[in-house]
Amino acid sequence: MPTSTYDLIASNVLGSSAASVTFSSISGSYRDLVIVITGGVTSRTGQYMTLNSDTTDANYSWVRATGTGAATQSGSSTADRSISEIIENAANNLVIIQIMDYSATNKHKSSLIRSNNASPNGVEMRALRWASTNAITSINLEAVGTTWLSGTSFYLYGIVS
Amino acid sequence: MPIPLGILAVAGAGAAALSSDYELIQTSNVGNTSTLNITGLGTYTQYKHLQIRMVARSSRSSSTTDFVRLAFNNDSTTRDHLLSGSGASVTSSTNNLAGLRVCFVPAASSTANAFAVAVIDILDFNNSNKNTTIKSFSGLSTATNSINLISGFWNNTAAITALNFEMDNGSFVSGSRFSLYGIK
Repeated sequence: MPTSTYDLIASNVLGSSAASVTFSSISGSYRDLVIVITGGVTSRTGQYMTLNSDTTDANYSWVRATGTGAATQSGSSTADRSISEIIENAANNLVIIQIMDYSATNKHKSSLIRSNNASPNGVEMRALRWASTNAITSINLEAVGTTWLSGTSFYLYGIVS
Repeated sequence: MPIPLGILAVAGAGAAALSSDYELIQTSNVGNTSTLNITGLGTYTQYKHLQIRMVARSSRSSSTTDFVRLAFNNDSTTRDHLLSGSGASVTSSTNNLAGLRVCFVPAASSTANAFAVAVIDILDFNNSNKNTTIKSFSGLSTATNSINLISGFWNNTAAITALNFEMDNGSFVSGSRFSLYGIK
């Protein structure tokens, strides 16, 4: 018998600019998590996703491919928590983060991230791995050295399996 | 101020519909096997689309990478287009392999405990008036980086009744899983 699933766990629509947003006390009731961000940042200095307050950059790695409208690029890092290269200082951004098997304790946590900035920076796809077998219980989304714009929205969904 | 009943009814109906429009059909936890066959999909006529959420790793020895193929109804005559980022460059390729390349995965020589992940959308799977197309978004961040957007095509108008996943070289290791969802 099919099971209804895809639940909103928490949301935060910023009434004023904020340096970071945290989803905490995430239960292990779901299999995957999805985060949807719409809005932007005050200045384009990068955005971090920090899991379980682990700020050790060496525990995070990623690979990305980006299209700017004029060219394609690919990059990678083995010590960085960044979720996107294209989130801009305007409210033209959409980011969807898929965190798979977030509560599993037998594997590292891998995420798929799609970033969209219709003007001026383009599109990006990224895979990010947190080299930890701990279950994820908190997620911090930080505008590095700047702030998320007022009105930026953050939605956290859980998917059952 | 009272809420007009008409609006309330519409809002309520909308909320109820949304909460049941994305449903789990099954999850398969696999290990020590090179194939996974999901059958009986012809009974799910209430859905328009399918989504697979996959986490996988290969046992392929002496290698850092492998890939998962997808065929339909035991017919692997498919064609795919791949947009891929390696960390150094972006490439595009096409293939007429026996099955769609839906996800590149880490293998035995890759980083321990690292798995690749994919979200695969299969559109209008019950429709018998058009060929079937899919989209796969997949990636792994290891020494063998790979981030991919894949378009797949099955040159057949038959309704899909079975999904046939196969690891190209090795087997799925324990911890690999496939969750199948139906979308109305």
